[in-house]
Amino acid sequence: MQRRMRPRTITRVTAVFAAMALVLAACGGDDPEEEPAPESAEEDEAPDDDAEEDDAAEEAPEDEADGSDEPAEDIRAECDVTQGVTDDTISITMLNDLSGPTAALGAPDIGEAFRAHFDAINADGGIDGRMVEVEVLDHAYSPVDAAQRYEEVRTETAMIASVFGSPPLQAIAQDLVDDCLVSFQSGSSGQLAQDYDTIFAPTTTYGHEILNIIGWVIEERGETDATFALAYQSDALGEAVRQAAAFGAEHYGFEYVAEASHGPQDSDLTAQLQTLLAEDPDYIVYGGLPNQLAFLSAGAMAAESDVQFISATPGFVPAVLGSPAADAVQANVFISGPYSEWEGDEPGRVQMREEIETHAPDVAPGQGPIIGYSSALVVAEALRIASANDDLSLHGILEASQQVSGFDANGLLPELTYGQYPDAPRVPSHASRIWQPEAGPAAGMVPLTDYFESEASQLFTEPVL
Amino acid sequence: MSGHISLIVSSLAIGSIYALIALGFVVVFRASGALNFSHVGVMLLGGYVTFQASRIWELGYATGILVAAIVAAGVSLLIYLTVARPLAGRPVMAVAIATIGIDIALRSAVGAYRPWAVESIEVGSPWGAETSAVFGVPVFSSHLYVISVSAVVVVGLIFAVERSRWGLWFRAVAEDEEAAAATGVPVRRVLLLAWMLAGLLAALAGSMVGTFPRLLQPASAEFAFRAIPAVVIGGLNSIKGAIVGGLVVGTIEMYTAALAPAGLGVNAHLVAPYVLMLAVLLWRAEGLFGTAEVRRL
Repeated sequence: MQRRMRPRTITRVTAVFAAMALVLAACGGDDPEEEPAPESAEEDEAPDDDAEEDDAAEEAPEDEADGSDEPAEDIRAECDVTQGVTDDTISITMLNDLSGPTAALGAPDIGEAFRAHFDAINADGGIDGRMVEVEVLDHAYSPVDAAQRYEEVRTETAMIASVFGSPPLQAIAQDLVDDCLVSFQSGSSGQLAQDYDTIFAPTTTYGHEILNIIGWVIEERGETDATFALAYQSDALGEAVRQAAAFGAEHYGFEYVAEASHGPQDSDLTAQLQTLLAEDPDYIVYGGLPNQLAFLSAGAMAAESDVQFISATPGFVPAVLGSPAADAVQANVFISGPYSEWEGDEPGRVQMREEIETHAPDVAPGQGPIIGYSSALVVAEALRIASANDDLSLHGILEASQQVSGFDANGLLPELTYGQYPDAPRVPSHASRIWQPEAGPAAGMVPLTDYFESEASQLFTEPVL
Repeated sequence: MSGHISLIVSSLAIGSIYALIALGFVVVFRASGALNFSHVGVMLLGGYVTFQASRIWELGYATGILVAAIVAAGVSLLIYLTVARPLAGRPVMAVAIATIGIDIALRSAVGAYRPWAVESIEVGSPWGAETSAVFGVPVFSSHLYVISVSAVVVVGLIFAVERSRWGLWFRAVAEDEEAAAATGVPVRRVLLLAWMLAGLLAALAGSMVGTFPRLLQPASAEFAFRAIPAVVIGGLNSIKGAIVGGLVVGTIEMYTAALAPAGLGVNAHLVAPYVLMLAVLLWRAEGLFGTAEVRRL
């Protein structure tokens, strides 16, 4: 017979587990009201061409990102080592979400597309004869797991070539600087690339994407009297969007008629939608993930509201078009993103499709694979420069990354020129395009604009985290 | 008023799912005195099996749920036979810890199966994004389905426990396992059925978690964790408590999200059920409907 525990004791034990869940639920629940307003939000009155770089210089966290104020010539001991490189191979690492919440949103496809490009490079003889070995490790979108995976490879890899997601990257950002390991973040807010001098952003940040799409409404659509509401999820992604949206409101001179937030795993946003629709906004600026945007979109349509949702790259994946929200999403959602179309005869796109279809045939077309593949192009370019410089030490790879110049990923991305801090940013492009979800194209969206930067985006510098 | 109708319907829908999950915890606890945390993983598995049968095998939504229920009941039974039963007589926390391990393994397995894990999945409900009018207010038809099916299941369960022979045995085992065995109650069969019933409830809840407007993903397991306050608030050994607890938690979540001032923080709606849970624990540790064990000193 099984020994029974007393109900009260069991209840307390259960409560302990519940409390643990509470801690998890509360993660990322910072109250935005308690945080200082973004400095940049106060700086839009007298813009000049150098404002962005000046801001970057002013806001660099000298204490946190120690190394950012060091001249490149002073090579730290941690940087003056070569690891993960042999005569035949270069080992690089990708930290990706293979089993966590964003795995279901296409994160693994980003990794597969990333790896596909290096498989293609290796099939052509590698980089100066060295095969590039890409190890993809699962951080499950967890900062703790990211730190553990990082420890496993920190002395063995030449690069943490790509880290998916802001929370995991944030967990290891200072270690990357301390260990002199370069990383090109993908699927991240971009703020970290500004704050830590071994982290580079290969794509426009979500904050700039949001400012571009707000600017598109006001500047391109001419809806200067449009009313906006704001919704975001309570994590680094939502916070990045919230801060950019606040800057946009101040720049364009409007106030959000309603605001609502939700947890990253909330699935029923009825309450939030009601709060937003009660003020009858023309647009809802949304910073979150596709499932929740699909709910809001379908819910608004069900409520017979004509509100339109404007969001950034993480707000949409083609899979949503296979859900019951497809009609609503195609009718009332617009996305700002810095990528190219999947289709087309341009050489870069043809090569991308061929390499992905050859080396990652299971990957479904979409923005994720385009972003992953484009990131791989940038990483490969940095490794080629380092190899050409005959310096594949950690310092050599960092220096080579700073030398990437005029690189447009074969037309897949806006032109990227990185530089050495603080003279040039590690987030070189603020341009994006406006897209509308549509079932026809392989990537599930059609572009409504070419690359552009809104006025607000040109003036915005993401606050230090 | 229309806003409240939407909120009430959504609260009842989400609360119904919490109640079904909570019932799974309670049924196993009452029957075997075990805290079965593998219930979380079984719920997630149930959702994905519903998707597999309904959309991939194109068997239809109802058949999909039936297949999921069979699979989940089987997995739950297997967990009982291979883990809970062999650990009978060991410290009770051993079962809890072991089932936590099984839960992690189950969720990892689900997450590792690429066709399930790489997309957000709707399990194939026939309503899609259709709405129905409740007092003139459009609400998702799927909400009404969740509420009505849950109500039928709950009533059926209560009837089974209160009126059926199995229910009599179940209550006898819950009261005193040894005494029940001495009076001829087939304790082992009761335990088998209780664990299978928990699996059935988990599968049904899992299918609802993946029914639009919700979309299923590996992280949907959090639904089950959110049901834990419902179990504690209602009382770990009370079926009625699980139902009330689930509905209370769903309502608190929804109304806190709608009405809480910004100063409480952006996750106030997630924290509120735990605050209530702690208050209930302080006031009545056995929960609102739970019964404290009387011990003769």
